[in-house]
Amino acid sequence: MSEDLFLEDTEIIVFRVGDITIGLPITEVREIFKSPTITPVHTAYSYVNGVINLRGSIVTIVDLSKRMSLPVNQKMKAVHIVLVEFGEELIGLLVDGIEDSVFASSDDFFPVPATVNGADSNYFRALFRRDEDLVAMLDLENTLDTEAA
Amino acid sequence: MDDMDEEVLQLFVEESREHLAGIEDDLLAMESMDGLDEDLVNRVFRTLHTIKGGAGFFDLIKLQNLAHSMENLLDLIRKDELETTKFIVSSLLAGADTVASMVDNLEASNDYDISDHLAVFDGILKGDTAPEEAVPVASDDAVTGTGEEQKVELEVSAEPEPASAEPISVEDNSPTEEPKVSTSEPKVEPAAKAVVEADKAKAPAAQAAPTKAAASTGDQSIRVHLSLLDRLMELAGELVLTRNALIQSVETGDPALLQPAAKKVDAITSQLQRAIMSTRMQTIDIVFSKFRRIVRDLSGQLGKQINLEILGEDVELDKTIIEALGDPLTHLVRNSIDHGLEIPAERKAAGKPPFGQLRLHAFHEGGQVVIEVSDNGAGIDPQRIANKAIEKGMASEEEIARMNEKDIVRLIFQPGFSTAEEVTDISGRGVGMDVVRQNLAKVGGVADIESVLGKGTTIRVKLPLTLAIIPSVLVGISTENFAIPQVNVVEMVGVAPDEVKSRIQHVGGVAMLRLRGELVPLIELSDYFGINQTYRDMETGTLNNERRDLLADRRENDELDEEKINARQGLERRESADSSVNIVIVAAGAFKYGIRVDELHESAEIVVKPLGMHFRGSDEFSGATILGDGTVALILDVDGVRKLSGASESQQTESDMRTRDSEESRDIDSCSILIIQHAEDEVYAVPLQLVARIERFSTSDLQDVGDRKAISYRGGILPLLSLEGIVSSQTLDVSAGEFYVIVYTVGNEEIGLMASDIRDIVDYKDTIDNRTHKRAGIAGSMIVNGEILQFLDLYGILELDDPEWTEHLIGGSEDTDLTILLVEDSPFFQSQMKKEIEAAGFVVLTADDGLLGLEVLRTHPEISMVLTDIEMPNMNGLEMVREIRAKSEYAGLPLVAVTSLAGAAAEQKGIDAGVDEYQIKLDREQLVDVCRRLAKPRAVNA
Repeated sequence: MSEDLFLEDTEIIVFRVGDITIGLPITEVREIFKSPTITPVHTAYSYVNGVINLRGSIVTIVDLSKRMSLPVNQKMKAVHIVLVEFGEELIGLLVDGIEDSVFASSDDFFPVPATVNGADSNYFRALFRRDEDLVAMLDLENTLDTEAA
Repeated sequence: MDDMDEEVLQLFVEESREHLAGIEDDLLAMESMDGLDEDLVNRVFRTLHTIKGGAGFFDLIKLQNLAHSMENLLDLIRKDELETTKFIVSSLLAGADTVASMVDNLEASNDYDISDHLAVFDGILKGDTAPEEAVPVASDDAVTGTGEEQKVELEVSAEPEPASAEPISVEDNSPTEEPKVSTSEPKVEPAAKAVVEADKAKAPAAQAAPTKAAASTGDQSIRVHLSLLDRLMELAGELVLTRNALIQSVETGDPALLQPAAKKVDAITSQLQRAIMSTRMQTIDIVFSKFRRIVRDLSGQLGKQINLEILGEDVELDKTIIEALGDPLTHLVRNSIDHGLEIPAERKAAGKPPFGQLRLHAFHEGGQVVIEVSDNGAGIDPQRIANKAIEKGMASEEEIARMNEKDIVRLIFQPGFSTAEEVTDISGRGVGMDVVRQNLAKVGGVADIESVLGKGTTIRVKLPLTLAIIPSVLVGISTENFAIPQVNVVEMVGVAPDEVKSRIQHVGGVAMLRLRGELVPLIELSDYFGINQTYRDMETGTLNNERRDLLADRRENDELDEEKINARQGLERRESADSSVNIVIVAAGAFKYGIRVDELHESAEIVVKPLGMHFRGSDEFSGATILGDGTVALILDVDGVRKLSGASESQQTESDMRTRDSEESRDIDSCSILIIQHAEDEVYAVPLQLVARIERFSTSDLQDVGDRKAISYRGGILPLLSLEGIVSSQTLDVSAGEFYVIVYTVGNEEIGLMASDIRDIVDYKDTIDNRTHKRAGIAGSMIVNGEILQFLDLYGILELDDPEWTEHLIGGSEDTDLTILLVEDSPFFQSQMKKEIEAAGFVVLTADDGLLGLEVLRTHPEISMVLTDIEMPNMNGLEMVREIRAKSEYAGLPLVAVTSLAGAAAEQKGIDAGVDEYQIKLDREQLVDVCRRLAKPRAVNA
């Protein structure tokens, strides 16, 4: 899976979902903002939390902890939305908190083990060592594609 | 070609298209005109002249030549040297089509083969009113004219390529010149073109294709009148000024300034919106006008005479909708011409004027645009549609029997109703009608059909004015808001608190609203949308309080503030039993249902926003919109919601069924029924004839005998039966400390059915619906005083409760080979009695009235006994009995009358007519007994 690793130095946005620390290259993040009121919606996907009004556009909100079937951690507050561009639409990822923005060199990445703190490795592209802890690099394709398993 | 030229060329194309758009109408007008209208001819002339000039400038030789040749012809007409015949107009129309096609494909225009056109025009100029082949046919013969002419053109086009000639200059006016065929291009190309052209001539209706192509290529730009643009500029200027005022008033914090500024922004925004919208608006004439040609060509081809009437062509619709309308409307018009309107001879035979009337009518109605396509042709035979539907397996015979004619005709909108190869099989209408419906649905249109056999057909299409902004009703369900497009809303109904119980009824798990004698199913959105999994019990008005638990595990509710919690509590108060219920009645196609809402907000024009990919499978939403406070409301797709709820479209007929029956004024027997109450709002009907006694007991009298409740009664033990757990999920309401027992007999034993109360005894004269609510223990349903009653099958409930005991009581059935004819018009009684007699081991044949009964009797000599109803349409039971008794071959055949009303006078009449015995319809015991006693193998002698 070495081709999945990041070959270039990358600036990474780090945020938390449940007990997992997750990262996304800053180039894949369009915006980060506090969650406005989410209009709940019933769809075929239980992890779709609802929609929000983002300056006149309707944006689907995906609850990452539900997507990864993580136990609901009542202490954590899903207050932030990480807006990503996927396909031709913008999707908001509901996360528990924004932690940091770090600079990573390609040497810092290594392959994902079978599970990451209880979440399927499928959702991640690589791990990245940040000081003492690990940051799991989110695989947007596998996380958001409705065709993907 | 440099940019400059490119721009000029584009201008030329756009201008030419604009000119050509009118040429067809003008040519058709020329044809229908008696004398010469110089203005008209001049206009056509000028169009062609302009195109010729432009084509010359850009070196488009073929286009130039064709336009030139047509221009020459028109010049002669203008000078009154040539009479406008149908043939000439046809030729010019064909030429104009090719010109239009060339303008759309300028690059390839020099590859077009126009020799056939030129040859025709040349011939006309030489003095042929029509080429030799067409001579025998009078060119203005309305019946066959066009068809023949098209054939002529075909033959002309099939001629070999003419020899090349010198290219001609613009000044060279010689009309006989043939264009040069470029030697560099492959020979195959023009030949293929010729075929295309020939095909076109053969099927003039296929002309829709180039028009469509033009529409799609012309998609990218739109012409806006300068005055409108000025108006937009003006509004934008005003908006800027008001914005400045607004900013100023916010900065100074002066409320006296803020208010007027806000008002002004409001006013300007709506004006601006209207003005911008109007740039997208186009008149429907764009679509309608092409039908003149289609009607002319097609009617000629089919030998029909058709008057096309176009009304409301100046009605405006959004460009997107106009573009999407072309195909479905063409289909509808073609259907009318093809299958609706008859040929003159048929029309005369039917006593109609030879000219068929085809009307296209557009008009505004309730914020929407309605387009009607109506003809006074043959109409649609519902019987054929019904047969077809049954054959296709789209509906069962029972379902069809339940439908009224209108609904049967509507079946043609069903997917897969008809396929192309079977066009001629059925009456023809309905070919691809589901496609028409789908295409219309894409732009928010709804189609409905009304047809009277022999009188004609009308198809109504309802369309929104625009797609981007749709008028909607905003509703609140729980804490969420939804928008329902106005186009789908039939009406809004508020059911007052004291009417809730009587008007909303839960029948067999489906909530129904009684609305002016109709039953409309209700859909509880919260059941499907996971808003909260609880729903208010429609009957009791109580609220299942699982709401809190569900609240807890919803993640976003972490953020729920006090206000929201309060709102929910408020909601619960609102939903308490003594509050009214708001229902929005919506129509999805022909299916009508109600959506229960908590709050009716205002009607608003909403801006439609698309939803993301996660909603692709969610048919119940057509988009979302942003409300005034910035929150999001989802737009309901009422058809999607219907599918989600699993309500089938055919279910619609349930509600219409009763109306149909009463409309048909059938002979209906009256039947005394006892209305008993099991629990609050759960009432059942029992046929009074089967009831031996009604007794009242105190709950303290109840005893347990084995696992059965019983009561000491008349020195013995009366076993009791409760509906609870058999047909009802509710416990018997004995809160009054007393209960009633309905005593009836099975075998030699008496059984007591427990009831909470006795409501009434009524004479029921209407039909009993034996389909909607039929299930084990329930024989059917009926509506009494607006309340839905479930008709109990007294033997059935016993069987459900204790099958072994029932069998013991009734005695097992022994199969006999004896055949019994049952003549009964009411489907309910027929199926019920048939079931009972069959259960006793007889073979049962049925007939719906006396006449049919005689017929069955004649063809089935094995019939050993006849059971007949008295009141029946066509031939009643007594008449039939007399007929049978009058025939010697039926001597000795036992005839038993079954009736729901017993009376000495009626009985005497029956005996006078020759009836052997009288029996009560629902008394299974007696029925089976009489069959066992009287039915005997009949000696087949004549």
